[in-house]
Amino acid sequence: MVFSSPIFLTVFLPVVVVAMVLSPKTFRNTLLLLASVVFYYWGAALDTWVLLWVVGASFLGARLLAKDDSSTGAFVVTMAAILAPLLWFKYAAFFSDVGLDALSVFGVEGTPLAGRVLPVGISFFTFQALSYVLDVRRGVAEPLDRPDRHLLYIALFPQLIAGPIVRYAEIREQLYERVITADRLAVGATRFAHGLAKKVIVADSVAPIADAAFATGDGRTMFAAWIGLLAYTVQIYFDFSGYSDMAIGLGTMFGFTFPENFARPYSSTSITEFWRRWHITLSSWFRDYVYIPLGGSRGGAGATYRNLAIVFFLTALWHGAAWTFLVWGGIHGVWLIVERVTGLGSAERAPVARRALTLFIVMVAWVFFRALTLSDAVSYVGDLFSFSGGAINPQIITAMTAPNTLMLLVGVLSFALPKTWVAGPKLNQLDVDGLASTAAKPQVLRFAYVLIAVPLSMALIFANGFSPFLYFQF
Amino acid sequence: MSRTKPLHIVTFVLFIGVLVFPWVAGVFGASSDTVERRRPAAFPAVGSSTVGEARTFAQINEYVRDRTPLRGQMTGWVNGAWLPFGLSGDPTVVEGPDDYYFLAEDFTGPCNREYELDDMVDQFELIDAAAQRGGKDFLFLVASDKGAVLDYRLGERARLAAQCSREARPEFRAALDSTGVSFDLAPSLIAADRAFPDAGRWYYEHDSHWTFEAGGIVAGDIVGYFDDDLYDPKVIRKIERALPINGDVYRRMGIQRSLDVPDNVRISDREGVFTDRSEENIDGTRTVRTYLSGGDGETISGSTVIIHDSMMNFVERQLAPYFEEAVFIHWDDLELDRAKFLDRVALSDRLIMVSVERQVHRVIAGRILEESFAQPLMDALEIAPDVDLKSGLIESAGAVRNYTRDTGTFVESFDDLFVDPGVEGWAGPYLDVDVAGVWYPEVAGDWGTVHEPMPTSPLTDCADYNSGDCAVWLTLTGVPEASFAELDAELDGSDGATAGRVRFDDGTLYFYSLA
Repeated sequence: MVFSSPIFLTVFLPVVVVAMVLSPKTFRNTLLLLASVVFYYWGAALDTWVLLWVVGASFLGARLLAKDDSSTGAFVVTMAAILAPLLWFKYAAFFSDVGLDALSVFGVEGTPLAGRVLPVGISFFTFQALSYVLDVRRGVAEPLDRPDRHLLYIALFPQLIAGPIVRYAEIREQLYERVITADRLAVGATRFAHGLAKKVIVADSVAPIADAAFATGDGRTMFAAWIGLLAYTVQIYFDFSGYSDMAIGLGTMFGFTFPENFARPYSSTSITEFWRRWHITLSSWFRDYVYIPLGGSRGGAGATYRNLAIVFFLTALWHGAAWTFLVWGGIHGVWLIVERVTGLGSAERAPVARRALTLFIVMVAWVFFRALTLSDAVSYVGDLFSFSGGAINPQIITAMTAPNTLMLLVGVLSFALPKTWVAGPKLNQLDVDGLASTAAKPQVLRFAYVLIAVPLSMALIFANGFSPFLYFQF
Repeated sequence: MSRTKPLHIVTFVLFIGVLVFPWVAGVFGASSDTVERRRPAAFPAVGSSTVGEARTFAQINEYVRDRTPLRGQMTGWVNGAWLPFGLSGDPTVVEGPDDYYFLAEDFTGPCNREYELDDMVDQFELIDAAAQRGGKDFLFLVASDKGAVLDYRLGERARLAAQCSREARPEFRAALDSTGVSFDLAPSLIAADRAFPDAGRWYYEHDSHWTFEAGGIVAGDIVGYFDDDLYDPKVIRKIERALPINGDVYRRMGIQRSLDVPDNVRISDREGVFTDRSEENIDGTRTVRTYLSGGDGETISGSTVIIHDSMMNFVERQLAPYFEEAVFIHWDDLELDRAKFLDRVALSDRLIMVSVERQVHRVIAGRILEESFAQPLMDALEIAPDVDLKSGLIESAGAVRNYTRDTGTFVESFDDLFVDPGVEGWAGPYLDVDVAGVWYPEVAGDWGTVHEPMPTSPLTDCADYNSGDCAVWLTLTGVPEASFAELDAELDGSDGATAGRVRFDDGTLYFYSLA
C-alpha cells in the first residue's frame, strides 16, 4: 500500500488510527501487527513469505546468539538465512551476468539468471533484521521474548517499506511500553501532513519534468538536461524525505519515536557532510555495522580509504544491483576520499563555494542513480556539458506546466532556506515526556498546516493520480 | 505533568475528518465524476485464486480511486485555480492565448513515432491491394489536430512544445500521400481559416474536436475524393439549438464549464435524397450507426464502412447523406466485436478509416502494422461478392435456427425473419433489417421462399439436416452458377450439387439449414 494512495489515506489510515486510539492499551500491539500484515500483503501478496522468512530467521537466530555459548557457526548461519532472500532476489541476476561476462573471456558460455521482481521493501526490512541480530550478538540489547513482538518490530507498517531504518535498540522499549496522547496524535498528524505535502505537492509535481528529461533520447539540449536534473534533484529529496516525514509522523501517532532521516542535505558543504544529512539511518547503519567493525579510521590513511571504499560499494549495492548504482556510489566514495586527502571535508573557508561544489557533485551523481542504463547516464552527462543551444525539448516543455514549474522553483529555493525555516522536525518537536511544546504558536501552526496541506494534497492526488515513492524499489 | 492542549485535539479530529471527508460527502450524495476518457475501474473478483495476486489489490486501489466521491470536483478545483491566469495546471493540456487550450498529445504524438515510414507505406500498399482484389475502395484519413490548424494561436509554451511535431509532420504527410490511399484534410481547413478568420470557428477554445463548421469542410473533402461535383455546402441545415458544449479539454482538467454554441447541430439536407438512420447498440452505451440514403438524388453507390474516432462526431450527419449506405463504427467499438465488424467490412464496397493526428501513430503502429489486426482486415477487404454470399448464407442459417428456437416452428418465408408473421414467441428481427434490405438482394441475388420443412412435425424428429428429410431450405436465384460450386466447395467440401447444405439445380441455389 502506498501512503499517498486514496485507499490508504481515505480508508486504511483513518480506520487504523481511530481503532488504535479507541482500543485498550493491551490490544494495541496486536492491532498494529494486524494492520502491518494487511498493509504489506496488500502490495506484496504471496511475496509476504519473504518477510516472514526474514522475521523467523532473525528471531530464532538472535535467541540462539543471545546464549553465552553461541558459536560463530550459528552467527554465520543466521546472517546467511537473513541475507539469502535479498541476495537471491536483488543480486543473483546481476552477478550471474557479470560472472558470465568475465568467464566468456575464457570461452565459458552460459545463460545468466533472469531478473526477479523484488519483494517490496526487502532491503529495508533485511537491514532491520540484521541490526536486531547484530545488536543482540554485541550485547547492546536483549532479544525479544515473543515472535509477535519481533514481527511487529520488523513489519511495523509506518517504516516497513522505505524506512527510516529503525534499529532495534532504538525502539525496543517502545515495543513493550508506549503512550498515545492527543499531543502525539496532533504532532504526528502534522508531521504526516508535512510529508504528504512534500511528496504530493512538490515531488510529484516536478516528477513529470524529470521523467520527460530522462526519457528524451537524442537531441536533449544542455538547458533541458539541467532543468531535468534539477527537477530530479528536487524530486528525490522531497519524495524520500516526504516518505520519512510520513513514517515518523505515523510512528509518533502510534506512540513510537523514529529516528530522523534527513537534515537539509543539499545545504551540505562537503560530501562527507552530505552523508551525515542524507538517508541518515542508512549511512549510520553502515557506519556502525560495517565501517567501525572494519576498523574505521583507526588503521591509518590507507585502511581508512579502503574502509570508506567498501562502505560506499555496499551502499551502492544496497540501492540496486546495477552498474549505474555502482558508478553513483563510486562518485560519492571517491570524492569522500578526496575530501579526506585534501582536507576539504573539514575546511571552513568559502562555505558558499563548497556548498555549490557539493551540490554539483551530488547532482551529477544523481544522473547515474536515475538513468536506466550506464549508456543512458553517460549520454545524459554528455548533454549536461554539450554547450548546445536551442530551446527546451517539447516533451519537457509540455511537462513544465505552471504548477510544476512553480514547484520546481519552490524546491530549488528550499535548498537555500535557513536552518530555522525547516518545518519538519520543528512541527514534530516533543519534550522528554513525549509531549508537544506548550506554547500556543506551534499549536496554531500545526492546525493551520493540517487544514491547508491535507486537503490540497488530497485534491492533487485525485487530480493527477498518485505515484509510488522512489525508494519503494529498494 | 503537562496537560493536553485543546487545539491538538481539534487538529487531530480535523486530520481524520479531512481524510474521510469524501466518503462522508458521498453519503450525502456527492458523486465520483470521471474526468478521464475511460470507464471507471471495476471491483476485481476476489476469491481463493486471486487473493494471492498483488494485481487483485492493485485493482481494488484503482476501484477506490475511481469511486471516491468528489474526485472530479477536486480535479476541477486544482486545475481551475490556474484558469483565471490563462494557465493550465494539467500536464496533458497546454495553454494558448485568448483562452485557447490544446491537448499536449497534439505536440508529443508526432515526435513519438515508433515505426519506420517505409514500413507504413508498404503496409498501406498491401492493404490497398487486398481491397482491390475484393473490388473495394480503401481510404485512410488523418483528422487534423487543433494545434496543426490553429498554429498561430499557440502560446509561447505551446509553440516550443509544437516545434518537434511541426518538424515531423511534413515527412509523415508526404509518406502517407505517397501511398495513394490517403489525402490530407488539413489544407482545406487551414485555407478556410485563413480566408475567413472571423466567419467560423473550426475548433472551440475548450475542446479538441472539429466544430460543425469544420465538419462541413471535412465532409466536402471526403465526398470530393469520390465525386468532385457531388458535395453541396449550401444544403447544410442548421438546427437552431443553443446547447452548451462542455469541451473535452476542460473536462480533462475537471472543469465543468461549457460554452453556449448556437446552431450546434448541422446536417446535410439534400434535395431528393431521403436518409434513414438506425442505431445498433453495442454495449448498452455505444452504438454503430447506419445511414441508408435513397431517392432521386445521386449518392456514392454501395456500402461504405467508416471506422473513426470522436473527431467525426461533428461530421457524420453532414457526410452520411452522400453515401447510399454509410456505417459508422468507432475504433474502440471495433474491438468489442472485431470479427463481427470485419464481416461488415467484407460486405462493403469501401472502407474509410479516420484517425485524429495525435493518435494516428498509435493506430498505425498498434493496428495497421500489427499482424493480428492487419491480416484479418486484409482478409475481410479481399472478400469478393461471390464469397460474400457465403457470409450471407451462414448468417441466414443462424437466423433460421434462432427463429425455430423462439417459435418452435419452421420459418415459412424469408420475410418472416424480418417481420413478425404473428407466430407466438417471435423475437426478431433475426437479421439486420436495414443491412439486409441493402445487401441481400444486391450481393446475394434474389432470396426466394422457404420450402416446406420435412417432416412438418414434430421438431424433435429432426436430427440431421444432411439426411434430406429434416431441414428447411432457402432458395436463391440470380447468382452466377459458378458461385454455387465455389460455395459448395467452401461449405460442404465439394460434395456435389445434390448433397449437403449447398445444393443447386438449374440456376437456383438451395441452402439447407438445420431446423
